[in-house]
Amino acid sequence: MTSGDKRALLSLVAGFTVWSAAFVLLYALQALGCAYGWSQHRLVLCLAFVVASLPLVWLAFWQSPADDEPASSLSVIALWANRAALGATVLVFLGPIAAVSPCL
Amino acid sequence: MSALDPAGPRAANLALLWWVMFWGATALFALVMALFALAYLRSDLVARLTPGQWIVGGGLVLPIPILVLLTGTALVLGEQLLPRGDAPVRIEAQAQRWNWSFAYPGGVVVPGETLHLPAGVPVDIVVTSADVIHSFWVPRLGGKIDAIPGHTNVIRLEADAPGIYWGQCAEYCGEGHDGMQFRVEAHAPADFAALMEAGQ
Repeated sequence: MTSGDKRALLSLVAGFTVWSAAFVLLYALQALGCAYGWSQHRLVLCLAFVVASLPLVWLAFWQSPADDEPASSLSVIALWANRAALGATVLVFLGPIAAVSPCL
Repeated sequence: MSALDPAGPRAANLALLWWVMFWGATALFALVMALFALAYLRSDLVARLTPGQWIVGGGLVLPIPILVLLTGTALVLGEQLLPRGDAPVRIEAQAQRWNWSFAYPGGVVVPGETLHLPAGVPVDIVVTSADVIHSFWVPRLGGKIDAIPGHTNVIRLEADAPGIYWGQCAEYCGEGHDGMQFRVEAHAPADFAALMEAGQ
């Protein structure tokens, strides 16, 4: 396995790992904000969403360093998996965070 | 006692969501079966698309808008069920294996195990439990909510018209669970007020 393959393999799991971590983080912040009655609850959630999106944007539009190698199929798959993770983040998190009542 | 026979605006929301999902699922099932039949009967038509086009079309282009619409519908309708502010009437419901007891505003006691509420106005039911987790559910008037010991949950119900409705514990709570039903009687507002007067 070349170093490029190793990087591509890491990149392949990176996007959805960040997505999972963001899911847990947002759920925790939603629950804590309701339990402690945070006044800026929605702002905190939106900020957490933006912070979680940054690495995903970087992964989705980050091209492997040009080292005169053609892109391997693994690196192409990794790039599109990360773009899917970014899409999933926007699709799944943004609506509930921005528009739905966080607490009863 | 059917959620598809709603007798109030909140139950109507839930029934609408159910029908949206039912007809959506029916249409999708019909589409898949039609493609399945096409693969057998007119495979030349199916072969015009490459496997990649089938995967992207059937795996992304078709489900994503459907799931977004369905989730959006559920969120919008669900949002309308939330008890915002205070309802005109607030009744406490306590579950205990295997029956329900109700307490009315101002410490009013009404004999019997019936839940009385006024018709035509939203009513908040404050639900809790004395032992295990139960679930409060009046299918024709609204959604269901868990009755949790040491915790109160609020569900808002509304009956369009006076009448008798039935509720059922909707969380398995032991051997008496299936018989843990309760009667709900919606009264005209004046009658409900009289009932509260009499109970004081």
